[in-house]
Amino acid sequence: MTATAHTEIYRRLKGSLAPVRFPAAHLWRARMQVAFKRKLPLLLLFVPPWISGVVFSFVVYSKFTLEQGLGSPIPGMGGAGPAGSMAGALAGQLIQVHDQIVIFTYVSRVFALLAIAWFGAGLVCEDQRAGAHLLYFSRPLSRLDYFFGHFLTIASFGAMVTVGPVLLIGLVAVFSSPDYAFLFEKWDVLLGSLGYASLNVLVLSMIALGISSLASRKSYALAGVFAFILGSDSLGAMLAGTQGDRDWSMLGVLMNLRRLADWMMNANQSRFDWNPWYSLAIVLGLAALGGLLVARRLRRLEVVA
Amino acid sequence: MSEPIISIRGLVKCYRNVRALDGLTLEFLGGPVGLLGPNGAGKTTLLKLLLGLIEPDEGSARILGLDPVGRTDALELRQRVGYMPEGDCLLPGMNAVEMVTTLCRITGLTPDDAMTRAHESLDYVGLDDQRYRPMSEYSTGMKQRVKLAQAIAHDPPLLLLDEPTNGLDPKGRRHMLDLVHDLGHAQGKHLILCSHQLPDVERTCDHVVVLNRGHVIERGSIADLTRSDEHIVRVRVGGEEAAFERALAAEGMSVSRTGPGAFRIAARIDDADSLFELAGANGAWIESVEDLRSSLEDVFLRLLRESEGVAQ
Repeated sequence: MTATAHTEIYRRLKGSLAPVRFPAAHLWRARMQVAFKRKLPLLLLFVPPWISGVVFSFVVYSKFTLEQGLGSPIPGMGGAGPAGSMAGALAGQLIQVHDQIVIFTYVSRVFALLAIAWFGAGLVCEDQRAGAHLLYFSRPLSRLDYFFGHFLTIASFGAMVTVGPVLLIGLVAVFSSPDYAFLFEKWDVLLGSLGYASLNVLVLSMIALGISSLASRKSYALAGVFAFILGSDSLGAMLAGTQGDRDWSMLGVLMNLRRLADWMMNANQSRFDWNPWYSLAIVLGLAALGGLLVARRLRRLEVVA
Repeated sequence: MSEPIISIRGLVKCYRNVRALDGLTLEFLGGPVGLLGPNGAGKTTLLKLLLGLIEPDEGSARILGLDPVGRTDALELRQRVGYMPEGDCLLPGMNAVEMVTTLCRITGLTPDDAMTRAHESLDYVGLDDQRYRPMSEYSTGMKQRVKLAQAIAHDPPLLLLDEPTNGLDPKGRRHMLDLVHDLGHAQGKHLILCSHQLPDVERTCDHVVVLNRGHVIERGSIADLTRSDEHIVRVRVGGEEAAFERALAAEGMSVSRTGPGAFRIAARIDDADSLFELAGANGAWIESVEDLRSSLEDVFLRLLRESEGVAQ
């Protein structure tokens, strides 16, 4: 004899329905939960930038500790210097650390593009394909909430590969420098690198969301994101080369972001010399265009629901 | 008299040159109601309006005491309405428990309540261990059950069910109809069932509203609508059946042959005796007469014919 349970009994809600304060947060949490189910993309996209971040942090830490005569963290590498030369050398070290942070920020752009494209390209189009919008918009979720939920998801992944490691390096620099000198002397670099990383994430996320809202499948959206970003850069570089005028590089999304990185982080040398405000206008314009595309698609998705 | 749960006055909604709703005025008092109409009748537009997803061009509506046109009310309304869409829909990458929990959280339940309700509603629709499998592996029947589970998970007073038996095999269809019937009758939910399967509506609803070209062409209880002045009878005759058939047609009765010596006749109630007289006069005799109640489908088709006739 086997035990059976008849479970098809309707049960009343014993809890209560409360006004939802920020429904986008629930959407964000759910999308993050889904993304974290697949470990391989996480491993491939997040481990390299974080390893780089840790390595750069270690280099930064080494520079300061060596200068302070605390001994090398690596056996056989350097030793205590004369006390009188420490103050003079500190300025030089600060500049070197500054360069480390700038270099890392440049490098992290590539990882940001990969992470944002991979995790963001499918968000809107896969929802549409699976009919998820029918369920979302029958709930107390506005188009703006839906947009924020998805934007936060992409931005979180972008931030994890750029803002996170930059913050780590910056914190190591601050706490390793004598009397937090890096914070007081080079606060603009910290602010610039964090600001640039955030801007980078914002612009790439908006472009990815905009293209995702136009595509019918994740693979198409993924190809679209890379085609648009890398294609615009290739076109800009090609025209700059053939016309002998570097300003043509302004056609490229990454070129404009590079120009802004140089400007925001006070890079010592910049390959580009055009007015950075043009670049800012271009990338913010692209972000706004992405936002418009998403808004248009969401209006349609909500009504189709 | 109780307050109507849905009250719609003079609603007009146009899509470019098409008037999807054309001055629709309607009141739902509650209980299980079937929403019928051919394609393009305005059913989907009405459902969208009931969810506060679209705004009418003219007219007003109150649903559960809320105005679906106001953005704040529309969002509150969606907390109190459960919607089961017609098409395939799932949240990508989630299993059934995660999906229902997420939707409950968005609707305003606490994490604990959301998880509890997800399991309770999935229990109710009979989804057992499969609830932990990715939904992309689900059969159509399982997907339909999950859709129903998410619609009832926050225990809303009003349910909008759009073609809940679409794509189901007979067993699955029967199960789904049992659940819908239980919700509408035993659980006291107000329920609007949109379906092209008229037997489904007949089985689960007490009332129907028939739409065509954005108008209400009929509304009332199914029992009243299927009761009419016209009797549908099935008659078996012997003898000169062909002459009998001709005589029926000459008398203006609607007659169709359903088999050898068997006819389905639409006759006025006071014509019943004349069937025997006609048979005798034409060398035939009636072996049996069986009274058939007109089905909802007969009523629906007749209403559409009348409506089209008036429109022309």
